[in-house]
Amino acid sequence: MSEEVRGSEDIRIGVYVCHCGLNIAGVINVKELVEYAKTLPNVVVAKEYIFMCSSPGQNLIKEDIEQYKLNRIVIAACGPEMHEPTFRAAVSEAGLNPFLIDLIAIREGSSWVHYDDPKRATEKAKDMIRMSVARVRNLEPLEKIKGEVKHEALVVGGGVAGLTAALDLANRGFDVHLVEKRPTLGGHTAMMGVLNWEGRRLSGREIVRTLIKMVKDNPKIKVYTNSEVVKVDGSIGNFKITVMRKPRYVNERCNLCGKCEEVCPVSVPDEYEYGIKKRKAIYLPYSGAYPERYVIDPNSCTFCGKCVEVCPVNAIDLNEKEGEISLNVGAIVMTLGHDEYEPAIGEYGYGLSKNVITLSQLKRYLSDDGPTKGELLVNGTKPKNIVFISCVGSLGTTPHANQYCSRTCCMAALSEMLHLKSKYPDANIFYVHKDIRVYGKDEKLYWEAIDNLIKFVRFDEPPKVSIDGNKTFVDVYESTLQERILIPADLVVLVTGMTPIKEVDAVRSLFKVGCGGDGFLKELHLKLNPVESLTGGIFLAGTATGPKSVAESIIAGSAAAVKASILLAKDHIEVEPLIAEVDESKCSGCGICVSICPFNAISMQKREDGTRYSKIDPLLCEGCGTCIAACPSAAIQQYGYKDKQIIPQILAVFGR
Amino acid sequence: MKPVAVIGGGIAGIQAALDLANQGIKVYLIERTPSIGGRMAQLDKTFPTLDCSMCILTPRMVEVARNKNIELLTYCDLIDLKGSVGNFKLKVRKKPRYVDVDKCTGCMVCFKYCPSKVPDEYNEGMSERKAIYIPFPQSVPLKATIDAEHCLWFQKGICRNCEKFCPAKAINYDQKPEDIELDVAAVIFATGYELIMDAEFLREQYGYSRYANVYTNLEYERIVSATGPTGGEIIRRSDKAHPKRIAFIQCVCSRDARINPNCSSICCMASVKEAILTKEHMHDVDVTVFYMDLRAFGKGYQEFYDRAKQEFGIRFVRSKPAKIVEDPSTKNLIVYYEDTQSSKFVKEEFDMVVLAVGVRPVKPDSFIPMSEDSFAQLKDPIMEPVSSPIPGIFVIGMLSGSKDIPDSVVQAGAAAMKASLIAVSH
Amino acid sequence: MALMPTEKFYVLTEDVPRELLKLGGDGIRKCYQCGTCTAICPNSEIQTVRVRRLIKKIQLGAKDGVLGDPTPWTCYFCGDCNATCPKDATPGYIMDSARKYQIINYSILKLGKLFYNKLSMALAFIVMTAIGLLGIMVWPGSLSELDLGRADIYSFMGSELIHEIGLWLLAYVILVTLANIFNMYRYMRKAYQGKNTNASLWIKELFYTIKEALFQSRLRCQKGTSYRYLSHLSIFWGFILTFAATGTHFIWLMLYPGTSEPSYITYAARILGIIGGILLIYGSVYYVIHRLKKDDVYAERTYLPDWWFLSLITVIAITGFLTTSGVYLNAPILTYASYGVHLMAVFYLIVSAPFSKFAHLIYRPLALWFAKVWEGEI
Repeated sequence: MSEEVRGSEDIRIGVYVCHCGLNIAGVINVKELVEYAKTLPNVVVAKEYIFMCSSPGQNLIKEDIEQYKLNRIVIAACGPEMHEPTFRAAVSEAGLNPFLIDLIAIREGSSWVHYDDPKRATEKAKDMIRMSVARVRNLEPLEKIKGEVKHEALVVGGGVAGLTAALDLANRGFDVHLVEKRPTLGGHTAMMGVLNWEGRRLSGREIVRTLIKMVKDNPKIKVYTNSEVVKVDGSIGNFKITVMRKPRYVNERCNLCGKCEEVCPVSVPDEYEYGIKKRKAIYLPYSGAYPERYVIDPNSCTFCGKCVEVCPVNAIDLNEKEGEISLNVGAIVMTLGHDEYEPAIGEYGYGLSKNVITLSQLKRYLSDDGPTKGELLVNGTKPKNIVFISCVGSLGTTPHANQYCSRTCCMAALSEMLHLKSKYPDANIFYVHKDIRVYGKDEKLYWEAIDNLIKFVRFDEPPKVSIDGNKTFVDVYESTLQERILIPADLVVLVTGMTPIKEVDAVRSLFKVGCGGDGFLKELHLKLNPVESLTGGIFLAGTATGPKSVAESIIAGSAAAVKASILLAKDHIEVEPLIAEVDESKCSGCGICVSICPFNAISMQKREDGTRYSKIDPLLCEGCGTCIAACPSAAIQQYGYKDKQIIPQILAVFGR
Repeated sequence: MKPVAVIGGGIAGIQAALDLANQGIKVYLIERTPSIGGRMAQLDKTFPTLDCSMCILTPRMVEVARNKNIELLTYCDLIDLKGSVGNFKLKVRKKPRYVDVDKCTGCMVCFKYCPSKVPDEYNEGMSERKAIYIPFPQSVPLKATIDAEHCLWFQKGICRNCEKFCPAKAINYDQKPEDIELDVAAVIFATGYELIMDAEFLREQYGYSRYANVYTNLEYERIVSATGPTGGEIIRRSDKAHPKRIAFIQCVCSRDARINPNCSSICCMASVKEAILTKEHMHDVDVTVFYMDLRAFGKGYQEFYDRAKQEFGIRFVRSKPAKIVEDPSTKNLIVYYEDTQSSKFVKEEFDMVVLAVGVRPVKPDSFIPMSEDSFAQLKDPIMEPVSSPIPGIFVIGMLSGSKDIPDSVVQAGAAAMKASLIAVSH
Repeated sequence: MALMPTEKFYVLTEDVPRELLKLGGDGIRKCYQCGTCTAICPNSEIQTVRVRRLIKKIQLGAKDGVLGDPTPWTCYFCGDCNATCPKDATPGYIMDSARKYQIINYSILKLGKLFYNKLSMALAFIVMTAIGLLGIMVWPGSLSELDLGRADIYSFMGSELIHEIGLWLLAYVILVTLANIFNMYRYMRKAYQGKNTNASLWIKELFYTIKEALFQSRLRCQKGTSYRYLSHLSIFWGFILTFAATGTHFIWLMLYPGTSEPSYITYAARILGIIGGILLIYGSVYYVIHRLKKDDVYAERTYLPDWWFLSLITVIAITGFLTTSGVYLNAPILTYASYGVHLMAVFYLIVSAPFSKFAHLIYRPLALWFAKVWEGEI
């Protein structure tokens, strides 16, 4: 950034007062302002015009810059929101650095609010102009900050949101690196069974299969499964990422024969079946997984070597080491997904009886591609009384439940109840619920459930589940009947919500992305920037920001991709130079600014002698000024708002 | 790279246009009213953050105006759509404002001199605007428009005051509609919503338009708004007094087999928000919300609902009131309901009642296939949830289903993504 | 809201919703418990009357709760609930089906079930017809002295015979009805368990109930029911008057057997009978027409039990009129034919009385009485 030598420069200020039709001129005496401005030091020319923002108004400034050799401009008009860029562009065209102007809002600040007192409004406007002149005198020319943009993207998480984002970015022409911590793509959707959304029924596996096929066929997408991001450096447009590929121990020679699985001595709960069946330490996540290859789970494997012996194609190498991959990308899309709420042992009888299961487990039982091929047997017979309990782990119903609503549980539960009823028409299905929170077109799921004589039991006080041998009872006070009901349940299904992934804190600190009070990743703005994070260049999609349905995650994946595309389509990024900068010589290394920066733009640097100083990444800094105010050493200044620019402005209030 | 057309200038259309334009793709943003902004411009604050709606919307509107890649075509109607993906030919009619937009500076002097008063759509008919008007002060573009149906010159051949007093000499009564043809690669429809104003039903069951102190949710939104017809004072129509007891009734014209079986998704949260705003405006007011299921399903919603109950003391009664009767002397409203959580039959008096009326899309003149439930058809609600069955045409926002602002913004991004893939390949 | 301290649980039985569906309560497949029906129902002023709550009990299968609920008997089917229900769940018809369900379940040995199933109804009809015809033909004293030259109803069937059969039938009706009422009381008492009442409250509400039964002002007050009100009142009073007429005649004959000459008592009885007959004809024909045209809310659906009761009343009224006309016109064939049909119809009506829609004559006032007495405790 260039800095002109102060003191020797001859400051020549032009002041332009706008009428803004009658908005200003109807209250303020513009002529008086112009005459006043002429009396201020360094003001070479002061003029008025009816609409400064119009072409003739702008031309007036441009011509004057040329004619009077003006090098500072004050425009007393409307606020900067609408027209600051207009005037910056105008003076630029006349050859003057665009950051040597000040737009002072005598409309919003005086004529509009003091419409009933024209005299004092005029006086106030004079004060404002005097302040602006004091400020503008000390402005320095600034250049926009350029950053390079690497035209590659990183997508962290291979569920439906990540797959969609990767496909959209690749189709848009960018190279995409898709990193997935599990040995297969597909996330939770692949484990879901059939979903029912706005009248469309589709199995989760089918959705995932379709997306994976497109990913496979796209040469611009590189997939790294069984891998995790371990280091993130750099910033928007230029991230340096280190990915650790964990060893699979099984290579591409694997022909899925399954002999290794047969001889493996270790059995652990299968997380792809929500623990309702066991898998071996060497296993295939599910049929249709991608890559479709066996994998060894190092946390349970004893490395006994039996599988190596029987593998007919020599695909197993127990000595496989982890690999490190370095990536250099311009944008990151975080689609970390979610975990399911795990009820505590004893919560509604969970873990104390095999007749208390979660909704996800039920969906696996009822799924044609599940471990029981879709048949549900309780105590060896078809279930009669099935009780679903909603809001488990949500709405503060139990001491360690979350407060937030998990959005998708009601629709998932109702959909599964209908599925259950169609398979077992004689079953008595109860939905013990708080509110029925299906929404939009999914209201018809609720109507269909009532039509199928599913019994709705509404509670305010959470129900109690008691276990007596292999009988389970649900005791609940029905709030619309004002009576207590005891339901002998053959099966109790706990409808649990979503939680952030267990590693969320570790992962997000790597990327310097914040989280909200509910633990999910925090968006730049909940309403208008729902797929952007507060960190430039990093975008968020899917259940990582909060519970949502598969369709909503797919939409979010595309939306995050478009934000990333906007960035990646540029050759370089340009950032406004009104950013903060640390004066190393004054910095004491206390680190307050690092923790306080809402945009994670500041980091601590070490010198050779061990002392620290903070450094602000100009590409991430948004110029909010928080660090400047917090710095106890006054070591930080903001371009355009330096002390030497603001203090004269303040002193000018007092006429000095 | 070929341009893309976005039909509808509400928050969804605005976001889609920006997401395309910021990639360097040219966008035609077509809006039928004189200004972009849509429904969000009518809201006071948004849930659950209680952001001032206009404050977060106007920067986007200004961004649209400034963006060199967006050609803003306001006060224009789409009258024909032909062609196929990559090659759509649109015919757009630029309706005459009778004001030269190059000269008009939005100074608003003309309003003072126009004698013709019209119910103001921006304030849901609760105040008046002039025949020459700007929809709201933050309009983009900030240009006056003459509503010919109410202009005395066009209707009776008299007046022409605006022409006399305009300082920029911008009035031109001779303007004619201008039809233009646009050649675009893809079209995104984001035409927004209207309330399901089943007049007979609302009148009969709830006394709307019969009793002075019964309001719709959008009307109430304007009342609590500082820029609304009462300057943000919550006062009632009949006697301009501050109500002490206000009732919100949910699921009016939604979840109803006779009118609209769908849930309108946003009314529960909108009423909770309006209830909180009411309590913020007046501390000694009793607010009751009558609901069947309080659908606080989105991010931050349950926490917002909990605040409403615990921090603001708003009363929530699980009940759908059956009828409202007006007390002719006080104009108070007696609401008949059964509190289902106690099985008590109650006739309770309120000073004001706000009906949370359901939503349906403003139909975009059958250029796209619609479903029987009044929303636009989707190619595949799960796999292609922003695409209409016609390739190259996308449907977002309220047009394809009731949804809140974040979901509309996300859909806008998704449609912009898909449309940009088409635009760059043509 | 804390859990109730009682150990009482509602027991849920699966067959309840299915039974009610068969009886016309298909609305339970739609109701989402909004409470509009209760709020619009004019009877909700009585605190024990809760339409929505009853529907909830049905949906969940709380059998004792359904059988102990007086709500359906306070309902006059004004149809306001049907009109305002946002789900078109026809709560009015659910109330109707609840009435039938209660009739069936209050009846001893659940004999009522026979009358709500087409097959068993047909069988019952055949059996009753067989018994009736047999009785007419075989019973000593009937048909033996049929005078074909003159219209003499007593030659068709002797007055002592009718008297005797009548007494048997009356005894049967009273005993069965008492048993049924006892069932009703038992269920309702259980539903309002633990509540104390005092005798004066019972007496006060008894007066209210009798007044309501006689004048049915609650029906009159309901919207758009003025003609219905008159017609229903007609049927009721028509029945009361003809019953009084016939009863007076029997008592007269019992006191003074063997006379077939009219006296001023019998004249009074005849006049009562004629007025009653006209009222019955007016009321029943009104309802037949509306049920055929389906042009009023309660008339949209007519089930077998509705037709059974209504057609019997209509037939009785018309044949009664025809018989009396026949006697005055001295047309023997007309007289005997219509009289035969008349007697059969009365027979059907009385035998099925405790199990058919006729039972509402006793259930309605009783339920209303209980509802008012126990209302204060809710």
